[in-house]
Amino acid sequence: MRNRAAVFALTGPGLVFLGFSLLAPIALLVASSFRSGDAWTVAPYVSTLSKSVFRIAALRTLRVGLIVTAATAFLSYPTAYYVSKLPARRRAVLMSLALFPLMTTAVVRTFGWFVILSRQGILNRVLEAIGWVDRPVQFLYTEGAIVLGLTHLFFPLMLLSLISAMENIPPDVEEAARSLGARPLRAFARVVFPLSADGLVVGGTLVFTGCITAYTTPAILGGTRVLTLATLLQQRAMTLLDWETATVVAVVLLALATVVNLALRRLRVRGVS
Amino acid sequence: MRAFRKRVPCVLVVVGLLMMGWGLVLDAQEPPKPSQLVVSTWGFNTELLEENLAKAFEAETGIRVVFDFGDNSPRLVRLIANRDAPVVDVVTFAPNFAAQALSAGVLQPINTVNISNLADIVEWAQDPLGGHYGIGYTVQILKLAYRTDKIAPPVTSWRDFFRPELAGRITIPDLNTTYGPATLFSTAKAWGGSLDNLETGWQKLGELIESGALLTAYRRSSEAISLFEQDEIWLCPIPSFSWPSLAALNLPLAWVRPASDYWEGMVASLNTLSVVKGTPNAYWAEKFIDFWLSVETQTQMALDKVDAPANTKVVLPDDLRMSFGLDEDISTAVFYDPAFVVANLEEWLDRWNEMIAQ
Amino acid sequence: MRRSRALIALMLLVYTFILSPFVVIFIVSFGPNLVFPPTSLTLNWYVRAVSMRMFREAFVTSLEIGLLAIMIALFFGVPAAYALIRFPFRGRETVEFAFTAPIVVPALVIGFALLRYYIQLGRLPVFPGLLIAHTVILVPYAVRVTAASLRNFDFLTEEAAISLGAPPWKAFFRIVLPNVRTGVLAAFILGFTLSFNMVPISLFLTGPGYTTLPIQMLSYMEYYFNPLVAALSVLMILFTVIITQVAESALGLSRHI
Repeated sequence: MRNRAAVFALTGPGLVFLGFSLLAPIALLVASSFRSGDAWTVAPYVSTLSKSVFRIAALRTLRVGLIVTAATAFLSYPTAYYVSKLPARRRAVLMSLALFPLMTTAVVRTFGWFVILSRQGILNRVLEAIGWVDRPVQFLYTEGAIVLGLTHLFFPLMLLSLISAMENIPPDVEEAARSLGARPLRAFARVVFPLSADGLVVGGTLVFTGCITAYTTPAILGGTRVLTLATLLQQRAMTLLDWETATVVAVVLLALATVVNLALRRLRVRGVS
Repeated sequence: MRAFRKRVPCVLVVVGLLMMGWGLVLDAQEPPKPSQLVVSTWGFNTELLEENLAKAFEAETGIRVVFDFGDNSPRLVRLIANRDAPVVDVVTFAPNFAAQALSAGVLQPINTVNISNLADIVEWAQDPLGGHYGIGYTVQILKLAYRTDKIAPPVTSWRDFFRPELAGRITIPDLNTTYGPATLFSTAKAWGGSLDNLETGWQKLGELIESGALLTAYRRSSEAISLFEQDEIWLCPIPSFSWPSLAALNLPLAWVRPASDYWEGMVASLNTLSVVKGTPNAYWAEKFIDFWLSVETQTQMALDKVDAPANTKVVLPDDLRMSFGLDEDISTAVFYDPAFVVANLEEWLDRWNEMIAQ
Repeated sequence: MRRSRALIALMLLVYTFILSPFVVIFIVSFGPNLVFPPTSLTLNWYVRAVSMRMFREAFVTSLEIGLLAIMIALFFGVPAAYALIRFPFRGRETVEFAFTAPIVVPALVIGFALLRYYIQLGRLPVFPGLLIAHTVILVPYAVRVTAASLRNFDFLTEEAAISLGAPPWKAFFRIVLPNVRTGVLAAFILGFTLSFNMVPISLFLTGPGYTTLPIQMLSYMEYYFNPLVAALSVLMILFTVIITQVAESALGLSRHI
C-alpha cells in the first residue's frame, strides 16, 4: 500500500510531463493528419502519396537506410571482433577513437565530408592523382554522398552494439571451436556471429531508424534536389507552407520508426537467449 | 526600522505618481522604447548588418536590434505562422514575397509621417506595393555570370544555358526564389514564348532538367557562389548583392547583361522594407526603417558592397556603381509584376517540384 | 591470437574512414578557404568565430537549454528510476516503456508537432518550447543511466536505515543518492552533451534571439562556405571533449554508459 503511493509520487510527475510534452502533441499530429478542413478523411494521405516528390523521397529514405545498415554492419563486425580481442589498454584507446565522433554534432561530421567530397576536395584530388579519373567527379548532392555521410555517422552505434555483444561471449567458446580444428573464419561464422546476433539486431535498429529520420546529413550532402523524408518534411513545412503534406510526412516517419522498433524488439525476444 | 517601513511606501507612492506623470508627458512625444526590435532579413553579410544597422541604431536610440535571418520563403512562413502573436517587427522581402506577404495579410501600412527620408528615395521605390505597405531600399539587377576562361565564345543570352558543352556546368535559381519566376520568363522569351505563353519556357526548362544539363537548382545565391568557387559550375544568373562575393573569388568571371536579337532585357527587382502587422512597436519599427533609408546608412551599405542604394542623395564611385550593375541603363530593366507571380505561383510550384524531383 | 594482415589493413582503413572528416576540418580551419591542403595558415577564422555575436549568443542559448533540460530531465527521471528499480509494481514494464518512449519517436517529428500545436496554435513562446523539446529527449537517458547505477546498489542498507526509524525520504537522500551520485552525474554530462549537439529537435523550434549553436552553424552554412564553420567545429569539439574528460577523470564514468 505504501509502496503504491510511493510509486505514484515518484513516477507521476514524469509521466504527466511526458503526457503533456510528448503524447499530446504526437496524438494531435496523428489526428490532424486525417483531417482536411473540418472533416475526417484520408484525403491528405492520398494527396501526399500522389506526389512523385514524396514517393521518390520515401523510396530513397528506405533504400539509404538499408544500405547504410548493411554497410555499418559490414565495417563494424571485423572491427568489433578485432577490438574485443585486444588487451585492455589498446582496446580502450581504439574504442575511444571510434566512439569519439558520438560526442560531436552531426553538423561537424557532415561538414567534414562536404569538404572531402567537393570537386576540389581530397577524394577528387586523390582519384586524379592516381589516374582513375581525368576530371573531377560530382560526388556532392548525390544519394551516394548521403550514404557515405550516414555510414560514418552511425558506424559508432553499430560498433558499440557489436562490441558489447561480443564481450558477452565467453572466450572459451571460441577457443573450444578452434581447438576442435575450426579455422578462424569458420569459428567466427559458426560461433561468434550467431552469439552476437543480438548486438546486430540492436545496432541495426538504432542505425536504420537513425538513418530514416536523419536530417543534417541529407540536408548538407544531398541538397535540395536529392530529398529524403526528413528533408522533405522540412521543405514542406518551412519553405512551402504545405502543412498538410508536412503532417503526413511526419506521421509516416513516426510510423516507420515505431514499426521498425517494435518488429526488431519482437525479434530479439523471440530469437536470442 | 519601523519608521523606515512607514516612510518607504509613502516615498514609493510619490515616486510612482511622478513617473506616471512623466510617462504621460513622454507619451505625447513618442511611445516607450522596446527592449529590442526584431528585424527579419537575409543572412548575407551578417557582420556588416550588425555593424551598420544594429550597432549604429542602438548607438542612436539605445534599442537593441535582433536579427531573424533566413531566405524569403522560410521567413514568410514564420510570419504567417506567428501572425496572431507577431515576433518580428520589421521585415525585408524581395518583390514576389512582399506581394505574397501582403496578400497573406501579415504587413501593415507604414505611417509615412515617421519616415523623414522618404522624399530622398527614388520616386518609383517610394510606394512599390501601394498603400504604403513597403518602401524600396535597394535595387537588385540580375545578370549572367560566367567563367571567361572556360566558355568561348562569350555568353550573351539566356539561350546559352543550352550549349551542349555546358552540360552539368550550369545552375539556375529554384522556382521558389526571388529570381525563379524571372528565369522561367526569360527562358520563355528567349525561345520565342512570352509572358502570356510560358509553355515554351516550361518545355525548355524541362529539357535542361531531364538531360541532366542542370547540375542543381540553387535555393540561395550563396549556393551558386560556392558552386563557382568549387569549380562545379561555369554559368549562372546572379543578382547584384552576390556579385561582390563572386568577384572576390578571384576567378576569371564576367557578369553580363543578356542582349541578343530576341527581346530579353535585364531583370531587376526592388527589395522592400515593411512593418509586420500587429507589432506592438510600430513607431520604432518605422524609425528603424527610416534609419535604414538615410543617406548615411545607404552610403555605408553601398561602400561595404552590401546593397545598392535607393536613396538618390548617395554618391558612389564609378567602379562601385558598376559592381552593382547600376552602370547599366535602368530604363532597360524589366521589373516583373509581383502580383502576376503571386497569382500563379502555387500552380507553377506544383509543376516545378514535380519536374525537379529526382 | 594470430593477427591476419588483412584484418589489420582493414582496421587501418576503417579508422582512417572514421577520423578523416575530423582531420580535414582541423587542418582546413587554419586555411584561407576550404581547399585542402591549405595554401597558407591563419587564425583569422577562429578570431571571427568567437567575435561574431550570432555565435556567442547561440552558444549561450545552447548552454542554457542544455543545463536546464538535463536538470529538469533528472528531476523527473531520478525518482522514476528509483521507483522502477526499487519496487516491483504492476504495470512496471509499461511505465518503463513510457519513460523510454522519446527515444523511439523521431526527434524531427517531436519538434514538428511541438511547433505546430503548442507554438503556433497554442501560442507558447519560443524558449519554453525549445526547452520542453530538449527535456523530453533527455528523459530516457536520465532514467536509464540512473537506473543502471541503481541496479548495482544494495538496497539492504536503505532498508536497514528505515527499520532503524529513519523516514523513507531521508533514507533516500542520505543513503541511496550519495551512492548513485556518479550515475546521476554521468547522466548529467551525457544529457548535456547530447542536448548541446542536437539538431533535428531544434530545427523547427528556434526563433529570433533563441537559436542553438548547431542550428546557427547550419544557418551560416546556408550563406557561406568557408573555414569559419571548420573553426567553430573545432571549438565545439574541444568544448565537449574537455567537459567529458574532466568528468571522466574526476568520476570514472565509463562504467556507466
